[in-house]
Amino acid sequence: MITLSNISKKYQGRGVSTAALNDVSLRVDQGEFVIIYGKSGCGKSTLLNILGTMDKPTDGTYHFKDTDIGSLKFSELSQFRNRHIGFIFQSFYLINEFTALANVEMPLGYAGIGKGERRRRAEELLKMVGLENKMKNKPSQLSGGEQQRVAIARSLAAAPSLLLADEPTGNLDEKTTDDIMALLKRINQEGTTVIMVTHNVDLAHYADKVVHMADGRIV
Amino acid sequence: MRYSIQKAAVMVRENIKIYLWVIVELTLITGVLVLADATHRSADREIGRLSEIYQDQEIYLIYNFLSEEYFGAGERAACGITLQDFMFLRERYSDRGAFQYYVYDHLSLYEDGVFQEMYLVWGSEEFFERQFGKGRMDFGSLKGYAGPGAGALLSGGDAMLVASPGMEISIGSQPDSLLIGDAEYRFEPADVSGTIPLSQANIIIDSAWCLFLPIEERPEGWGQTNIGTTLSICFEDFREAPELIQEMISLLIERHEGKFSYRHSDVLSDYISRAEAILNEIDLFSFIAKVCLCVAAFGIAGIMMILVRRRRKEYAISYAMGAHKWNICMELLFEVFMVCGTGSVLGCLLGFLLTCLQTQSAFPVQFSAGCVSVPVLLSLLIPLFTGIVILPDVNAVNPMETMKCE
Repeated sequence: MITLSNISKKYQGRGVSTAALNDVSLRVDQGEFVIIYGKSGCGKSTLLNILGTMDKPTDGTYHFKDTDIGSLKFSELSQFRNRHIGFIFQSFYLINEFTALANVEMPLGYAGIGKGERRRRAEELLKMVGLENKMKNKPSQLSGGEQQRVAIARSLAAAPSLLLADEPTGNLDEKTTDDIMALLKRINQEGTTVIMVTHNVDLAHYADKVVHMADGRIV
Repeated sequence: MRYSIQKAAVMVRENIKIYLWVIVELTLITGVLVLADATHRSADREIGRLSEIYQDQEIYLIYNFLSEEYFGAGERAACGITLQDFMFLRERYSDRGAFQYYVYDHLSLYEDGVFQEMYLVWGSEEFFERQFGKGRMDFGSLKGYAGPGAGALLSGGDAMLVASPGMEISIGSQPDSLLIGDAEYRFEPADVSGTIPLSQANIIIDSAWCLFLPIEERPEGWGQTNIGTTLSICFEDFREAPELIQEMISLLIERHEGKFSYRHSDVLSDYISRAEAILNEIDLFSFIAKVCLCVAAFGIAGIMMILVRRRRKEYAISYAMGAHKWNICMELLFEVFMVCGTGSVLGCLLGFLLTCLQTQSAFPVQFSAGCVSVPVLLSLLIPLFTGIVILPDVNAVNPMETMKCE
């Protein structure tokens, strides 16, 4: 499903070039649960951003199914993300002015889905993550775990085939972490490919494939 | 598009505390704009109305007279604006209006009951020659002219016109005679000196017909000190009247070395004071409205810039969720349009109320539907201006960089 070939990413800053990724190649099959772990600054988030088409590699190619991501324009990438990729972030990144329901509806809105259908699907997803009683709550009225559940529901709204999670449990306690991981596993078992970045190696047992990164390389 | 509108509506609702100030600001500004527009339109209507009224009334725009001092103390000279003054002003201001009438005055004095009402004019011989040459008459040592608009001119140099309203004068069968009504009169120098036999009353003289008498031959008792001469001008643009009249008066004062005094006719004073009041009011409101508009445009753009910078994270998330740049731009513009639209609608209502309460104006100010057209247009232009200012900021949002900073 995903093929990364010889991906490198360098950042230029004041005449100094910093390599975040060095010649990374990775293959992820449909329905896999992949965990990428490593220390801070090892390049795992950069890799996730490239996988999510939020960043472009300096070198190498990225194929998603039959699509060469490098050939897509900015506007095409937006559409591609909307159709194929869901994001979960460590800081949840919910929109504070919106209710949980409105946050989940957002990707559907950008996909051009009508209000009624949007509402129905968002409600279903919030029920799935166990927040049927807090649909009208705003992020500030939810706990960290609940916010992450909303973020997960939002990432699944457009029924993506790939779910990218960047340290989704980084801000959560142990019990909530287990709940969120169980939820992600369930989503994965229902057919969604999950790629998760973490520095917590204890979560590796949830994965079908574990990728260890250090100094911008897969080791 | 529909989602962008719905999202913008939510953002407006959720940021209402910030937007409330913008809405209040716009409401006040739009209110002033509506009032200014209503004032302007009403002023235009009033100007049109006044112009019509005063045109019909043949308004005396300048009623001025040369002082007795001009002729020397003790002289019972008839005095008034000279024909030369008229020619001078008419030539100078011909492009600013029509100098329709140049000679008027009312002399209600002569010998006992002979001439109850007369009109006078001062004019040069050349002028009368040109105007009334066909009716030239020879009165012996004196020259005279007669013709439409003139009776007779006697004497060289300045001359004085005398006529009675309702009199009809035409050239007589002799070169030195005039036909007044059915009666023909021959003018002898002696007549000119004060015994013109016009005592045969019941003579109907059209006021356009005139009789000129030489000032040099003015007999004892002729002339008076309260004669004024009126210059009537129809200005092309009513609003120019106060300024032009002031300018003309300055010229006349200069021309007569200060020995010149004037007063406006009551009608003219009213006309000028109304025009000035209208102009002042329009100027004031226009100035206030322009200042307010600039403040509003920059104020709203400033607030929106702050909001955009605060929302960089949200925009980054939106990009991650599949939003296009134009989605973000549209959401932002809709948001500004909603805020400005609300402010404009409330402002129109406020403007309507202010217009109804405007009773201190120099003229009646009336609200009309057209008064809201400019404010509504501006309510569209302000968001566009804001959009132009803030869209580069939105465009500059880099999702990755933004989320890294969080």
